[in-house]
Amino acid sequence: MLGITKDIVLRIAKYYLVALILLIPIPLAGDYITHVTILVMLYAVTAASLDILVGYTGRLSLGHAAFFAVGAYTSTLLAMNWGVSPWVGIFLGGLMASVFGLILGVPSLKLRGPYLAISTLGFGIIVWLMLINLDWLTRGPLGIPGIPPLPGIGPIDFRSKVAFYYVALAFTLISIFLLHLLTKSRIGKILMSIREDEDAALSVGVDVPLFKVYAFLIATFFAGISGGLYAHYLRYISPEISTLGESIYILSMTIIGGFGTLIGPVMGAAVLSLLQELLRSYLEYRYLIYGMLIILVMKFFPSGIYGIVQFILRKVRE
Amino acid sequence: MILEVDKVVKRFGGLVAVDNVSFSVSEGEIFGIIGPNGAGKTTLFNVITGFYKPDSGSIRFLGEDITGMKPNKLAKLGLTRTWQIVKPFLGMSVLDNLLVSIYATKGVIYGMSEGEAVRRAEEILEFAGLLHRRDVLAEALPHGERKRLEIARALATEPKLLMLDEPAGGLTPTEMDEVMEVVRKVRESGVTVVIIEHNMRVIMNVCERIMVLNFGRKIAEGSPEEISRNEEVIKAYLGERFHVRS
Ligand SMILES: Nc1ncnc2c1ncn2[C@@H]1O[C@H](COP(=O)(O)OP(=O)(O)OP(=O)(O)O)[C@@H](O)[C@H]1O
Ligand SMILES: [Mg+2]
Repeated sequence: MLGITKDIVLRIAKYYLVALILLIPIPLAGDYITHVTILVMLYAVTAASLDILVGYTGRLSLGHAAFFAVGAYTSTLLAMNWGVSPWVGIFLGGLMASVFGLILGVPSLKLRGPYLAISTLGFGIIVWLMLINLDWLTRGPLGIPGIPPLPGIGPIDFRSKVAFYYVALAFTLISIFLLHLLTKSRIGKILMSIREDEDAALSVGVDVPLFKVYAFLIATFFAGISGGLYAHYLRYISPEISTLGESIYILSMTIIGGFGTLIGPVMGAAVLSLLQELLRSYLEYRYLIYGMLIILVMKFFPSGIYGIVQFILRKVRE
Repeated sequence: MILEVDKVVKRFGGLVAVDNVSFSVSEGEIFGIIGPNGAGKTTLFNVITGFYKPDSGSIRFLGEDITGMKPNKLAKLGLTRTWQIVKPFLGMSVLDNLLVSIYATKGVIYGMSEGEAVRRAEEILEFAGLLHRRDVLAEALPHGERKRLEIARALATEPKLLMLDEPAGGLTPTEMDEVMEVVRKVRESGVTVVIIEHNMRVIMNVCERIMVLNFGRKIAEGSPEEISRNEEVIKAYLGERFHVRS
């Protein structure tokens, strides 16, 4: 289906099996490493989902954190006000993020370049303002503490970092695997044709607006689910997760990692999270640093960390 | 008649780029359009293929009114075009360039099986003399091959009417012959062709009928011999501008 052959599935699945084996023992390294890895994984899915828009469809977005936040708030509010199980709520949060994706995606279909960037930026700010000002629903800038954890299954209690780690690991590997298949599918190739040249794509029959909307729906869905998991993991959220700075943080992962490669953004998420941990005492300069890194990468290594890794692997093989 | 263009007008502000142009193309022919730079040839293509809406006039394809229809819809009906300044999907392989056409016209979810789609794309690549380039990125192709890729990608939509905007533009004489060979084969395979061309040698050899545009207006239509003898054409086109480009 969708041009995904068994060959492709098997070839890709191998990598995820290796990743699974490498990542299973992480909790042995202690709570701190486990915690950081969980956050890296949630950001990795978000950055990879953004890559579907930025890297594959060629649609820059400066508001991706908004969808992460919509997922987080949706699942949180459903759980706290209506007793919806987070297992279901997280999924509904993904859907709600997609609804917001539609609201942004459809009106911005015709926009390109800086106009698109500004409209996505504006949309992110609108979501942030809503979270701050709808205090009856969101408690405004104070945020929402005491979010219920993922309900336990049998003896497993997901308040434990280790237990949650394996949920996050499963979610991450499955999500990135699905996105990876998407990029290899017919839809992936159609999205790439839009990135390369919209007019040429139209002239060979591509329904460009429709597929741009698909890209928005898919990218925002995965950002929303990541947000939901984040909320039930940290058990506290605030409008801070939807700021422009946060969107730029995610975009930095995608771009510095190497956009249009899917795996690059995953590497970007790991490297930037580590950087953030190392630079704890310079936190106020972090956006400055990310901004400079983006410019440096775009200028000297447009294929990003992924490109650098490939380059090194090639040298080693020779 | 496969294509009927009736009194089409397209303005850009005060400029009338296409001024009340009518013509029709019958099934199976190669129809040529010539005219000096800025005569409105590309604009006429853009109007016919749905990239611009005409200010007035109408266009029929296989008897159906297609005025203002979207390009992607037209491609599915069997009307597609190539671009004067080629627009390959640079970051994709040559094969993938063609697969996009097949998926887009035959269906993404259902449509052709993957094996069938690849076979079809390979057939067309062979036809266009590009099979040996199957797996390289389009950005690695030299200009001559990009021109043929442009045609191959359009053919992969299985058009009934193919509109070529200067397919031999900017090519060396050898490359030009290669491209025109492909065009002739396209026609032999039963596809109707409308071709814009600047090079007189090329267009006189390949077309049955030619229309001449000047300042957006149609000034002549007829066989290559008639056109080359037409006083107004010689004055407007052959006399001065022809030498500039050829
Ligand atoms: N999008 C546009 N906006 C404004 N003016 C345009 C536009 N497209 C074309 N024109 C103008 O319309 C006229 C016709 O241009 P067109 O490109 O159709 O000519 P052409 O016959 O294809 O020329 P060439 O042989 O150089 O390709 C020109 O004066 C051009 O500047
Ligand atoms: Mg032109």
